[in-house]
Amino acid sequence: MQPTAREMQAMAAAGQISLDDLRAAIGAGGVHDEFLDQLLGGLPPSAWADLPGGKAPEGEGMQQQFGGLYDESAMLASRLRQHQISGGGGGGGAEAAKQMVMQQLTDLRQGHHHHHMMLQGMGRSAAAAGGGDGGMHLPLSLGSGGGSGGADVQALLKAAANSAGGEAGGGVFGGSFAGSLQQQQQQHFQPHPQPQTAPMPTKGFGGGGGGGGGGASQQQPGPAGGGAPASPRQRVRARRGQATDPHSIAERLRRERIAERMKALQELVPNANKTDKATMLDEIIDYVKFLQLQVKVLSMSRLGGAAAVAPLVADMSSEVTCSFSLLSLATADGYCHTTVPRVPHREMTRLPFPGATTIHHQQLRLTPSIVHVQGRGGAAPAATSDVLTVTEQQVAKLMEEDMGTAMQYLQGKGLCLMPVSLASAISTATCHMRPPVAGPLPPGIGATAAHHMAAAAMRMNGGADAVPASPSMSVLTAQSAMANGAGGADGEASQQQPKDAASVSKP
Amino acid sequence: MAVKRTAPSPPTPRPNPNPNRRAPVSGADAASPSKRMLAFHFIRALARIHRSTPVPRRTRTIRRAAYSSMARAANPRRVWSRALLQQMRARRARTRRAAVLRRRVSAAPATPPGGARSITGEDQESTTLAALARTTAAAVPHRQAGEPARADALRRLVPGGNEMEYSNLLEETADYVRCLRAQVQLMQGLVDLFSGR
Repeated sequence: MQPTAREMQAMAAAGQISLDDLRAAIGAGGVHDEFLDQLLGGLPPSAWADLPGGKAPEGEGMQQQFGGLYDESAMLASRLRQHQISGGGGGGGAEAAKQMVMQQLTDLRQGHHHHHMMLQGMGRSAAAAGGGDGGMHLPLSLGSGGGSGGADVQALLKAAANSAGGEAGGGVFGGSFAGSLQQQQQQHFQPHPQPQTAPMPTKGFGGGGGGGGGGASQQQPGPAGGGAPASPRQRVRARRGQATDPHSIAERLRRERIAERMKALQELVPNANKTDKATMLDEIIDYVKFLQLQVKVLSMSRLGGAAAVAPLVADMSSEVTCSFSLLSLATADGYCHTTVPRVPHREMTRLPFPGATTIHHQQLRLTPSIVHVQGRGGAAPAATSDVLTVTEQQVAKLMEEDMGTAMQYLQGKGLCLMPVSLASAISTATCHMRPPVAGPLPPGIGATAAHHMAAAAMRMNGGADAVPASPSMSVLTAQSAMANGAGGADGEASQQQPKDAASVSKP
Repeated sequence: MAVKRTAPSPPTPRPNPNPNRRAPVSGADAASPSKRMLAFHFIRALARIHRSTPVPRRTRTIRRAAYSSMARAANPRRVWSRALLQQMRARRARTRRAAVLRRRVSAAPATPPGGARSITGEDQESTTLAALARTTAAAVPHRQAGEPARADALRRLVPGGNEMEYSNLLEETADYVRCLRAQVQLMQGLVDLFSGR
């Protein structure tokens, strides 16, 4: 049954809303014309006068009629009653409104208008009552029950929700209500209620009493300050200065993810100067290439495949050579060349020269056999024998005075000393494909080699033959980079028994 | 030469000179791969290689063994480990097929069914591989706008890096770097062991 205009007006009067505002609010929702007309028809304001007097009987009458209503309305009615009983309402006006609503409940039948009235009434009354918990419940169930209405219903719902939400001071309420609306809500209805809710609350449901009045005052700042959470669906009002639409949010997340992963990578890669992203990326790429190269080299070094190694050695960059040592044997002429940087001076200074005094030049068999140590993949042997002899003599002379300078001299020429045993071992290795001596050689190589050379040189007078190399003498080259790591072996090396015949020999 | 080692203890990681390195990032999962697994796989593969493969081209085999063991020891949820294993398998299958084909062609030039079968097999594989390459190449081109230009170089380096997004690529690179570093340390330690005596 159509709600009477009288009832509409009564409601409006109860809520102390001007008819115009109500009309605007409801008219924005696209309400049916007939409903609107009825609503806004001249309502005798005295219609409400009956209510308070008729409260009691109507309440009972309402109870009787409950059976005729469907579940939501029954629920609503019962809740209203409870609220009415417990809360006591905000005042006569609120109670009157509630009563009005109850009355409408009884009067109304199924249909959209029922929903209209009910929801509207419920919303208003609940708001007017000062929005207790009971009031909160109502619109929720209203929303769920009444969500299946047409557009106009939802507009009304929205209006009610907005007003009620503001009234109750709960954006939550409005949000939940709006949430229920969202399912069938159409976009174009949304902007409409908003401007109207603003003026509406200002009039205030002051009739609801103190609570209502307070709520009304709060209402204005509510929607303005809260960022209208109840307004258009899912438009999350983000913080200031940040984009709100989902695309830029996703973009931002993605950028953050990339940034944190770059940071994690920076910690892994050694040269993390915290420069910009581009150079960091280059560093990462270089590091990965370097590691892959290291794997390749290490897989080679354990085989001694000369042919495979030579090209590798040729094009290895200097940093790579500094980082690890590689010994390869060239099968062709049986000489060793290694990729090794020069020994820094400090290695040389750590040479306690225990006791060797005189070294005889002749015993140093340098001439045909200089192990050529090259920084890069150089292949050619050092020089002709003349030069070698000269070098040998010089080295011997230097050795007398100071091993350090002797070694420096040798290093300067790119040569090194090694025990005969090792040289012979290497020469046999070229024949038998033994794994070459490689890897980070025991530290203090220059020192140990020097010691043993000197000591062995002394013993060469006795014509000592090649003695099996002691374990620590398995060093081949003055490997500075590796020697950097541990200078502590100097002490232990110096205690080695000087049994090895030292010679720079080339098989 | 085939020195069989029975489960040597994995080499202790060298003290990291990198001052930037902290304890493993809280966000990342189990930072470095299990070194025992790495050692186990690699050494087993090494032993097998020393036993079987002839001398001349061992380097490549050892390198492949290194990568395979690295991929096996790594977290199988990682894209790069799966891609690496696939790569190895495809390469092995391809060489095997090619060898078989060559042998067949050389030995029996006129065996149509067998030849046809092998050829079709080879063709299938090659076509699938080519198709795969084509699709991946077509699917890739600069999916993201925000990634720098150097990113494709990184994609080429990291196995399976072609079909990943940039953020995932970075994560995979981090894991790959960790595994590579562990592998290098392992191999270096082995070399030391050999040469230290």
